[in-house]
Amino acid sequence: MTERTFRILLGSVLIALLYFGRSEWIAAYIIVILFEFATNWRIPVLVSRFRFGDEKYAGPTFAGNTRFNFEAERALRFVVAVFIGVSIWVVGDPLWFFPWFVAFMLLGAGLTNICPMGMALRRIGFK
Amino acid sequence: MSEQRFVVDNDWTRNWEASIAVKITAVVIWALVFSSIIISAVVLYGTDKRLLVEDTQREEAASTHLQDWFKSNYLSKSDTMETQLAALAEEYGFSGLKVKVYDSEWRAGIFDDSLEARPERRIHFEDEQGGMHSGSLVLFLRPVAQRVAEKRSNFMLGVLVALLAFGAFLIWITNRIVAAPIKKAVETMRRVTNGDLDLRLDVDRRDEYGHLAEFFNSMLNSINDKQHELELALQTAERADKAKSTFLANMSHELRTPLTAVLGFAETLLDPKLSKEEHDGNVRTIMRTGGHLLNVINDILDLGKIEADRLILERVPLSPFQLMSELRTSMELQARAKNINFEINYEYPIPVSIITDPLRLKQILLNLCGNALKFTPNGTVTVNVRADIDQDTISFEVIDTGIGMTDEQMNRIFSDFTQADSSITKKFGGTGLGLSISRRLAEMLNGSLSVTSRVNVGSRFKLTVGTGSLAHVTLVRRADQQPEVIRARDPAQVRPMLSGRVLLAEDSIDNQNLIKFLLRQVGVTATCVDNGELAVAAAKKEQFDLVLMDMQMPIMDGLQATRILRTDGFSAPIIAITANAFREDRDRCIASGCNDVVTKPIDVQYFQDILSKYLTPAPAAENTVKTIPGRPMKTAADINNADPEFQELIGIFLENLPNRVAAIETPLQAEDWKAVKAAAHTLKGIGGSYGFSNVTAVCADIERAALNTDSATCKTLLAQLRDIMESALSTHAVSPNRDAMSS
Repeated sequence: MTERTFRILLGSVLIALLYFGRSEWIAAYIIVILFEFATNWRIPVLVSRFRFGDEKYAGPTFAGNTRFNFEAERALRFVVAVFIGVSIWVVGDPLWFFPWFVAFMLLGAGLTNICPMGMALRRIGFK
Repeated sequence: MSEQRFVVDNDWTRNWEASIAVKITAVVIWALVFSSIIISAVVLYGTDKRLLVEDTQREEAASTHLQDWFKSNYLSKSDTMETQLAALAEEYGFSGLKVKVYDSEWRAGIFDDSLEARPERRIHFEDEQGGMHSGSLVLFLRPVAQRVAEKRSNFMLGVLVALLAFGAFLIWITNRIVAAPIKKAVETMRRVTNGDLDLRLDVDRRDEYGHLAEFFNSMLNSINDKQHELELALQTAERADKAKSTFLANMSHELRTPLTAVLGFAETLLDPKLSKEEHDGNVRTIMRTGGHLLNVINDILDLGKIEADRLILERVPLSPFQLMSELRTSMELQARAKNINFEINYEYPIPVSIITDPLRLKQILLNLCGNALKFTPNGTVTVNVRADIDQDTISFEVIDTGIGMTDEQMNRIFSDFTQADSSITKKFGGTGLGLSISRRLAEMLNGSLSVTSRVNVGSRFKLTVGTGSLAHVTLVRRADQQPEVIRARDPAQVRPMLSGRVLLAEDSIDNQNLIKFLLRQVGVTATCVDNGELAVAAAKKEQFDLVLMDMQMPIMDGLQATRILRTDGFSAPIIAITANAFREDRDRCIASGCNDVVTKPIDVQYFQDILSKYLTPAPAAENTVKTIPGRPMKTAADINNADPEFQELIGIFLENLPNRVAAIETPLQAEDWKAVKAAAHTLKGIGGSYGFSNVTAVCADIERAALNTDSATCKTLLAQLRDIMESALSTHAVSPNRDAMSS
C-alpha cells in the first residue's frame, strides 16, 4: 500500500463517517491517526513491509534538504488529527465544514497524487 | 557556450509526478473544494432556525387541517381517527401525532425518546351538529440538530459527487486538449530521435501547441537539410578519398618510372666501355626524367601550399607581350617536335603592362599550352589574348585541335588528382593536378578558368585574370605598336663573363669546389672560408662585391653571420645558399639581411642569373662563356662531361670519399647516431651534385636508419656504400692536376 492509496482510504472513510455522523468512529479514526503519528508505525509502511519486506513500496522518500528529522507523512497525520478533532470537539458546530474539507482534500490528494499539505510540510523542512 | 539542460529535481514537491491533465485538474479541484466548502457553510448557515420556522408553519397547517376534518367527521367517523391522524402526520412530515379531546386520546406515528415533542397546541372545532368542542394537539419531530446534520451531510455528499464528476470531466477534457497532443509530440520526437526524420507533427491548431508543432517541423526540415548536406559532403569526401587513393597509385607509378630510369641510366654511367655518345645520351635521359620528377613534386608542393593557404602571390607589373614571348619560347620546341603550329594572336587593344603574379600566370599558361600540345596529335594550338579594359581583366584562350573531351570529362578535369580519363594517365602520364592547381591559381589572381570542348574536334580553355586598374595604362592598339620584348634566353645562348670579388662561406669542401667551379664558368674567382665567423672577419677585412653564404655551418651559421654583417653596416649583396626550400626558410634568410636565396641542388641557370644580377659584366665584351647547346643547364653534372675541370672536381670528391665514408663508419661503431646522421646527410647532398645518385640514395637510407638507431641496417648500407665507393674509385681516374683544383 502506498501513501497515496492510504490517503484515498483516509478520505473515503472520513467522508463516510461524517456522512453517517458516527462521532465515536471518528474518534477511533483520530486515535489511529495519532497512533501513526506517535509511533511512526504508519499503515502503508507496515503493509508494505508485510507484503514486500521493504518499506520503499509505501512511496517515495524525499531526499532534498531537510530541516527537521521528522517524516512529513508522520506530521501530516498529526495535522489531520488536530484539524478534525479541534473542529468537531473543541470548536463544534461553527466549524462543521472543516472535517469535510479535510476529507475532500485527503481524497483529492490520493486521487491526484498531489497533496498540498504534504508539499507544504516538506517545504517547511520535514523529510 | 554553456549547455542548456532541463534538470529533474528529485524533490517531488516541486517535480510533480502526475500527468499534466491531473495536475491541472488538481489545481482546479483545490480551488473548487475551497469555494464549495465556503459556499456550503454559507448556504447551510441558519438551517436550524429555518427548520424551527418551518416546523411552526407545518404545525399550524396541520392544526387547521385537523379542525376542518373534525367539523365534518368528529361524530360520524371518530373510529377512523387514528387512520386520519396517520395520514395527517405523513402529509405534514411529522414523526408522531397525539390528539386529546375531553377524555378521548388518539395517537398516530412513532413515539420514542429520540423524538422531540412540540409544545401542546389547543384546538377548537364545531361538530356536524353545531356543538363546540375543545382539545389539544401534540406533534412529534426528530430533533432539529439531527435534521440539520442530515441536511449538511446530504449537501456535502452532493458537493462531493459534483466535484468528482467535474474532476473526471476536467481530466478527460484536459487530457484531450493538452496532454494527448503533447504525448503525440513526445512519441514523434522519440521516433525522430531513433532516426525517422521524415515524421512531422500535424499543424491543425492555432494555439501554443500549433506553434510548437510548426517550429518542431521547421527544425526537422532544417535537420534534414543539414543531413542532406552532410551526406553530400561525405560523398564528396569519399570521392576525394578514392581520388587520392587513385592518385597515390598513379603517383607511385609516376615517381617510380622516372626514378627507375634515373637509377638505371646512372648505373650505366659506371660502365667504362660506354661510348661518349652513349654516355651523353644517358645523361640527357637522366636529366629529362629528373625534370619530370621535379615537375611532379612541384605540383604536389603547389597543391599543398594552396590547400594550406600558404601560397602568397606577388602583385608586380608584367608586360603581356613579354609573357607571351616567353611562352612562345617555352612551347615552340615542343610544338616543333610534334609538327604542330603554335600561334599567338592579340585582339587589340592590349595594355602594355598589367599587375599580376608573373610566375603563377606563366605557370597556368604553360600548363594549358603544355596540355594542348600533349593532347593534340596534329593541327594547331592557338593562344588568343584579349583585354577587357572596362572590367580590368585580361583573358587568354588556349585553343587546340586535339582529342577533345566529353561533358562528363570536362566536369572532372578540374578536380584534384583527376584526369579526364584513367586511360589518359596510362597513355599521356601526368598527375591530374595541373588543371586543378591552375584553376585555383586563376581564382587567386581574381579570375577564372573554364573549358569548352568537343570530342575529336578540340578544346578551348579560357583563362581570365585580374590586371589591376587599367585606367592609366598605355594601350597597344596595333601590332606595330608592340613594345620590344626581351627574348627569353635560349639554352644555347651565350652568357657574358662577369667581374667582381666574391666571398664564399661554405663548410663542405666539395660544395666549395662546385661553387668555385660555377663561378669560374663566368670568370669570377672567390675567396673561401668555412664558417660564419671567418666570413664576418673576411668581409670586414677585405672589400667584396658579393657574399655567397651557406646557411648551415659550424661555429657560426650563415643567418647569424649575415645579421652581424648587416648590423655592422656591410652593404654588399649577400646570397643565401640553403638546402631548405620552404618559403619560411627563404623569408628567414631575407629577414636576416640576405638579398636573394639559392637553393641546393644548385640550378646553374638560376645561379648564373643571380650572379649576373649582382655582379658587373667583364670589360672585355668578347669574353663570353657558352653553355652546352641543345639542353638546359640545370645541375653541374649537366656540364661536366666534356669539362676537364669538372672531371678534376670529381676526382677530388672521390679522393675525399673514403674519409667521408669513414666519418660515417667511426661514429656508427660507437653508436653515436647524431654524428652518423650528420655525416650521412652531408655525403647525401654532395654525392648527387657530382652525379653519384647511388651514393645519395644509400646515404639517405643510412640517415633514416640512424634516425631509428637501427645499427644492423646502417652496417648493411655502409657495406653497400663501400662497394659503390670502390666501384667509383676503380672507374674514375683521379686527375693529375687536382691539387691545383683544390686550392
